[in-house]
Amino acid sequence: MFGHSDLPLNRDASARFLPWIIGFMTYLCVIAVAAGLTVDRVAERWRQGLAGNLTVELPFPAELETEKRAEQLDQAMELVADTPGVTGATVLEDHQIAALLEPWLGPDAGQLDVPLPTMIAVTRRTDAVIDLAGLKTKLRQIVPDAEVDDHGDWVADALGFLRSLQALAGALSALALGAAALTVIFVTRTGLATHRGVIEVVHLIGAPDRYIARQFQAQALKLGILGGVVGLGFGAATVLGIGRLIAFSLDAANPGLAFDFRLLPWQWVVLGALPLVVALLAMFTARRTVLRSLAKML
Amino acid sequence: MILFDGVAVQYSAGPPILHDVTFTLAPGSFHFLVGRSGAGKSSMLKVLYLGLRPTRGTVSLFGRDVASLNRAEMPALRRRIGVVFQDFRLIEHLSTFDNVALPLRIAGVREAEIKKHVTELLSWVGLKDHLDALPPTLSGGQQQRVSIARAVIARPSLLLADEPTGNVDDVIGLRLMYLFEELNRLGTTVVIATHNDTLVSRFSHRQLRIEDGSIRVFDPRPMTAYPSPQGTMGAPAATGGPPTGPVRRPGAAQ
Repeated sequence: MFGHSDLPLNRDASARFLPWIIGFMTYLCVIAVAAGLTVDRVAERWRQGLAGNLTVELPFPAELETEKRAEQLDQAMELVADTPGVTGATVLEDHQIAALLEPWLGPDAGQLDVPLPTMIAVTRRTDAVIDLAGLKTKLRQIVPDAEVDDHGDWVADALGFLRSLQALAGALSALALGAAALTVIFVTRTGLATHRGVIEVVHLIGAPDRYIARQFQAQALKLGILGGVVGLGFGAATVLGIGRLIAFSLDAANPGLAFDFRLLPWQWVVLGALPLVVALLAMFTARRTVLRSLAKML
Repeated sequence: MILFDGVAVQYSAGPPILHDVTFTLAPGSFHFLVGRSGAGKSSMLKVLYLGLRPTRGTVSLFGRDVASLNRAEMPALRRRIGVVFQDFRLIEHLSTFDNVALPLRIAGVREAEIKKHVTELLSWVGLKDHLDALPPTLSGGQQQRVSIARAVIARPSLLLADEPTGNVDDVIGLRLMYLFEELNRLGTTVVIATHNDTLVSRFSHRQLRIEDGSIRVFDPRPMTAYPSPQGTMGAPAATGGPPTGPVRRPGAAQ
């Protein structure tokens, strides 16, 4: 693949610095792509986790008697349970509500003198279509300010944010690849100028442009693979380190959220293919640059 | 067949180096290209090896009008031409072996064949012990022989040599001339640009004399009828010579 070369491209200064530049660009690519894949996984987990759930909120007036409150709660539970598609409904205990509020109100959320609504966690079949507006209307006939939340707005906002992060990661990857390609173009043009004398001789002996291009593209492929592997090594170490750091920090701060930033095996395969992508990009960029430049010569 | 018709060469705004050059060379002919220094010999060779486009006129090589050639067609034509440059133009970072092997590698010849034929030819020109030497470590005469070996290794249809014996002693010079004649006997058209009157007189080949920017043809052999200075020059009689080992390039036309 790298074969015999008539041009001393190995001795060029570019042979020393190009792998480092390509390595750095590959490193940025690995980080950006890993971030994109992680975000994708988080988004999928959020979407799946919330798709089968509803929350019914029953804000009983403070002056309502306990017996009356229990009676209305029973009626609401019966209404929810009888709704087609619902597979279960559970009234959250006060300590569970306090745990939900803890990230915002602190560990003493349950002790605060704040009227908390009664919450019903509803599970449903993921393929079930529930008439949320109809259910809310019926619930309001029991508890006037009742609310039904399928988390749709929150999920849409959160997924929108995550998609923006993914687009940003994609743009960063494209920028890194573009910068790598521009560097290869610059290095290739410099090589053509440096070795112009040899190229002229080889041309006069009868070498077609593709013969000369083959030597530049082989050099670019070799340096691309070298830089790409180095970039992947550092990038993978960084991804692992950041993943563990974030998981440790979030676990320590809030064990309940259980974020998982570990990449799946197929996602590691994607990252592992990046050096090859970068090397092939370098190779084809060098080839195209040589062929275009030589076309302007005699 | 090589044809020049009304060819002129002029660099920038200077006076024309060549003007109204018209002649034809028959396949398999042998010519010396003579003229005083600066007369335009090298410019004419450049036009012949497709290193310079004439300012005007028509140049036809092997039946192709070079003005009509597109870029993709040039390499195949150039591979039929072997050139010995006056300044050798060896590739300094390549060994003697690799410099000579270059035309064969470009032509896609197998490495085993390349090794055999390059070694054989370098032995014949007296460089068997310098296969791995880099050109800057060789003397002028040795570099010249490497340059000649590179030009003839693929057994070209047309061999152009610019002062090919200028840096070698008489013995080596004669060996090289025999090599050129052997190639010529095998069908290669040979054009040698030289100042060396002794060499020219020793080998009675036809001469292309450049004088005042135009070409005059001279045939030193008294019995050879020659109709006009711009007529077609036929192939010379075969001369004896040493065995040589240049490779017949696959697909090369003679």
